[in-house]
Amino acid sequence: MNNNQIQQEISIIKKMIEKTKRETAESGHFFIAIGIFSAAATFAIGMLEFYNLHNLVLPTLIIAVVACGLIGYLTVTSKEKKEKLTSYPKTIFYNMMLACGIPGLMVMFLYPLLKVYPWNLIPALVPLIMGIIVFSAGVIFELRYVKWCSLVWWAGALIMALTKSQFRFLIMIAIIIFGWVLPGFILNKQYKNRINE
Amino acid sequence: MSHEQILKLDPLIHVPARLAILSILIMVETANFTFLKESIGTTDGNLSTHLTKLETNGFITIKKAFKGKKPQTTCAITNKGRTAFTRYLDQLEQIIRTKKK
Repeated sequence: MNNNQIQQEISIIKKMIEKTKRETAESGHFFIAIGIFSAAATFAIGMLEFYNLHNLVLPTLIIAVVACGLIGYLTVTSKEKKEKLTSYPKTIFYNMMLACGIPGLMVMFLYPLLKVYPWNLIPALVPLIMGIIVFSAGVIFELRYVKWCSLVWWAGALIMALTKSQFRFLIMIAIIIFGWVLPGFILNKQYKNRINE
Repeated sequence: MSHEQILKLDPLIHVPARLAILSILIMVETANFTFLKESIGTTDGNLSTHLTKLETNGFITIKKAFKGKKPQTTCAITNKGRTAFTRYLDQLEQIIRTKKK
């Protein structure tokens, strides 16, 4: 075994690592799809509140959450069908989403239904969980800009707790755009860079 | 590089195709047959031979299942394979260091 053979072995390892990295990069479509839908749903709920159609708020919220779950599920499963690899970061991320999704549902529906706290506290509590998801995504996919986006959620949670205005749904939309859709685009940029490498 | 060091290198990994297979599998949970074939640039038969060799020695596991209507073969590295590959890299590093000296 001479120097050339050693170099050849190292180049094989490097080449395979690069190819695998490219294939396992997260496209961010999951974030973008859910984010845009959530922003639209928040706008719809805000409008219902604005026009005093309070009895329609809860059904709309339930439909929006179920639809978000469906969009997420379909995005993940359609990708899985095409994917040739399963990677640890993605598995960890999807499991973390599930782990945060369950307490999210408890905070969003179960506790208010059990009258642990009023419904208007939901916008101040849910962003706390969303911040954890975004922060973890940043750690898992090694993107510090995504990690910073979690601050938008946590700051947003505080703002939502202190704001009483009926237009606070607009603040929530801004939080979704900067805290959820933006990380999706950051992930998508990294994905495209890797594909073009 | 000394003769001793060459002998230490695991002959099961010291083959370009098998080194490439393990380099991919060390990074992922599972990889399917098509991805391995495309990445390594080999034939079905050749890849099958290498995979079987790695499986027989307990370095990888091979699962055959159906994804929808399509049959799919997926491979995953075992703990034994992971340890062997890491040891192989350490030995390679050691050889480079010795050569530099």
